[in-house]
Amino acid sequence: MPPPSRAWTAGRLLVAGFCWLTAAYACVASSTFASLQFLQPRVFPWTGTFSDWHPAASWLWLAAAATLSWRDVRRHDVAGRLTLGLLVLLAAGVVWNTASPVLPSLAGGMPPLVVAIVAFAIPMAFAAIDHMAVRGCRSSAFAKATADKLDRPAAAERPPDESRLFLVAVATALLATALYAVFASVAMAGAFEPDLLTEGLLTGLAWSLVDHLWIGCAAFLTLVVIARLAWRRSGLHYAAVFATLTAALALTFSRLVGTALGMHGVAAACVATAFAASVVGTWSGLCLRRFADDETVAVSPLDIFFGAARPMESPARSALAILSLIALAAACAGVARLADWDFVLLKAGVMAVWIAAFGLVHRVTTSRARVPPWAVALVCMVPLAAQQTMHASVDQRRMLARYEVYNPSFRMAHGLLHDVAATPAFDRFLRANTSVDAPLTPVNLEFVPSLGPSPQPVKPLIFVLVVDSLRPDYLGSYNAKVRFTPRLDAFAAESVVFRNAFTRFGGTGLSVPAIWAGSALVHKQYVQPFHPMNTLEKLLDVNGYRKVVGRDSIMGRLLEGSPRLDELDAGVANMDYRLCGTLGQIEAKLASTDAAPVFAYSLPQDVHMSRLPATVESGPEYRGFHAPYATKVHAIDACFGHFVDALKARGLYDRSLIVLTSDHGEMLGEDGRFGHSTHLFPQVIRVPLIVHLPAELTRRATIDVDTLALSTDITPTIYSALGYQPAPANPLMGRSLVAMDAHAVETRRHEPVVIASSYGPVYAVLQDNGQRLYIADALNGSDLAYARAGDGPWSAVEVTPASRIVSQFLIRQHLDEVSRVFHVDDASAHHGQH
Amino acid sequence: MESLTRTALLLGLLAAYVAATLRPVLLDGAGHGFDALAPESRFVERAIGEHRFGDALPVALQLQHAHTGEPLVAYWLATIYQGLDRPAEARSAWDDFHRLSGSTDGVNAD
Repeated sequence: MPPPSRAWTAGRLLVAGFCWLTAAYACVASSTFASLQFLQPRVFPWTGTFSDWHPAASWLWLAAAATLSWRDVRRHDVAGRLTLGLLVLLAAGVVWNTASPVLPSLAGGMPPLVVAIVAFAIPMAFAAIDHMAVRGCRSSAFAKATADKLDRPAAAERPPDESRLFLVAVATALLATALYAVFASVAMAGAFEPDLLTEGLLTGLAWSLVDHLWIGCAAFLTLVVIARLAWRRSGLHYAAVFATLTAALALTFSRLVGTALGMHGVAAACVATAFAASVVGTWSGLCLRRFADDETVAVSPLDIFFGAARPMESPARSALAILSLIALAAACAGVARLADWDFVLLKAGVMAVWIAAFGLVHRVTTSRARVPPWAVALVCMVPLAAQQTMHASVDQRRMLARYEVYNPSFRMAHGLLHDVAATPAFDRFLRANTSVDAPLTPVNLEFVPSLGPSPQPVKPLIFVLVVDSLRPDYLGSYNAKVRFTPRLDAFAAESVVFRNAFTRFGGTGLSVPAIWAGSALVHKQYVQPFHPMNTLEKLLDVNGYRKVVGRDSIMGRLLEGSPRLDELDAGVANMDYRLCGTLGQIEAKLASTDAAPVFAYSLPQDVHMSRLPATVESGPEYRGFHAPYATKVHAIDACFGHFVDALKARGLYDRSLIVLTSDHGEMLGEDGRFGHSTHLFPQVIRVPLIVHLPAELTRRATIDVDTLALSTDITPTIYSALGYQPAPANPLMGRSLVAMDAHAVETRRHEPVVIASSYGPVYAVLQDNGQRLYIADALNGSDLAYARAGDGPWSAVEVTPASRIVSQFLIRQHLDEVSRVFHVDDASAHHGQH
Repeated sequence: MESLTRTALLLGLLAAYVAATLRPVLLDGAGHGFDALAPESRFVERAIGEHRFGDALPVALQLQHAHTGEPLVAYWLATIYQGLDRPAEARSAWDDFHRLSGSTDGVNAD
């Protein structure tokens, strides 16, 4: 049989790649939040395109799979019959997928995980056939050198070459350390890093070396012990290496992807194992086929996975391989910078570089030198002893945290070895109270008992503009260094600027419902019907407002069946909502003759991470800012100014209540992070909150602009503006930020506030009027603390035992209150959760 | 014989790596005897949340007796006594909390 060509191998990888992409889509869809907030709104349009075209692409994929398998089908053995059977099964699956497309229907729960496992299983089936086909190939050189070894005992042979493996493992660790040390130095160029001067850099490098050596030595010991125990039966040895690599990859998948998507339990373990077996099986199957018809002799099972030694490898080719490795590292970091989720892509890229580096070193290491046992023991003991004895001081921890920002490989290695959950039981508690599965009956929330029409004869026009991901420090009214928001600053000068405002939920998914409910909510997307909890909608309806609303994927659920609804941005995809276009439509609606007062709401996506240009021509006014983001803020500034002008020209401005805010902030490269993900860092939870009150109200209101204001305070503030005296019925509900009777209301909030991520078990506690922040991250098993003085910048501070105890107590109290108010325990009990 | 020695050495080294990896997990499994999420603990915290301080007090005192060095129990007691308007006992429990948690950062009972 002719050897498989490179094109054939590439084709097989493409066939497997389609399955892996399908499985990846299903894995993302298994998370309700990711399905609702990422896939359905098509945050990245190619995901929607992939889903739409998946049935058609499946036919092409089937044709490719059949063509590539044809030579196996023609065999008259078990492998041939199995290949034919597999193709028939796949054809049936493709027909089914065409009749009833699978991907668009996936939205949370177990079905997506089943789809993912099936998709991963297809390359596994091809891999099994590869293994069987090679076993049947007895006439090749491989039959003499390798295939026989997989079956027969070889007692007379020498034990495996441990010295070579040792040198490979240590050299790979050193290569990865050196490669990423250079990478870090380049990435750091031009950045001012007081923690990474000579001492900081040396500290980072030393820890990086120890951590990489630790992983290298652990890999060496695992593989060498397997070889020692199993070398007499090559088949067993191969199976043990296969199982070890599969287990390692499954753990990595579980830790990176499973954690990020909130996948837990048996089903998640099955998905991780299926992924790992699919990848390892495909790779080893293709390598086996290559060896079967190659003159190269595989002398150990590791050669099958990583390539046999090549004594004649030219230096130029080795240099090219190292350059490719550098390019791979840079490309992974570049992609992660554009779109990542809590470093998943970045770390996956590091993992790929590690594996590629191991393979490269494995092929070029041909030394026959025998390393004495004491040297092996000594080198292996060094990282182990260092890990047990090196305890970083507070200053060193700060240096290492900064070094992680620039050295992704160190971030990965350090995380693997040192990120141990501080309070795992508490983390489990958070996970159990997050993304509640049990069906819940909506509760009735109200700020005013027996809500009736407002006593005010003239009702204000109300505009609530929630600019997705807008950060306050990119507005001149919050940051004097900003020079690109003159119109918004002018508006702020005529309005109330709440300087200390926070979102109640990090992430749009629950932040927007919380604004409408005026309350922190149970962690579920979504309790429906939402109307009983929708205090803002009830207020608008009872006062006869015409609701002019952009019905994005969330508002469609919150306002299902709502009367007097006038749609904004009709026919426009959620992620294409733009403030300029939306404000223009609102202006047009105001011109209509309808006598009903108008309420307008929109969630424009101008500054959302997925809608930022990769690069922009950076003007001097953006210096010190994230230029692509600042450019977009600059653009909406002009549109907003035009809208205010239009209201003034119509004489409506003084009758208007205008709320400009955001649903959450954004990481714009701080600590190497981008986007908002499940983060609750200060940059993500702080929001702008600028409220323009009708002129008549401004004269009477008492307002504390420095109070800790929450996004859930917006709705009760609108109640106040309409003449009500809103009273929160429970501690989860917001409170009005304006007091009409100076003697009656004390507006400063004294109690601590718990904030949650919309998308994962990450919670935060704000204390001391928003001066201290504690974050409990049950996804990563870590906790963090920040503090600031007044309006000053936030600084990371040490998490003390006392602050951890109190903050975790406050989070438990908050979740207990959520359970009480939303009857979570009752529902869970009926749902069989307890 | 040499092969056996070498195998034993490698196995010993691997065992040391495995032990170092599992140590934090094993330490957590061994626990400190106090579980903030045990039913009694949850009862106390739920009672505090519902302002049923009288119900919470006896259970909290039992837990204090069983876990004398646990700062969270001292924190509960400070909160409970505050809720019961027993300022002297609240102050004492508060001092216990600071002592047991090594608190110097002004964490307070809000």
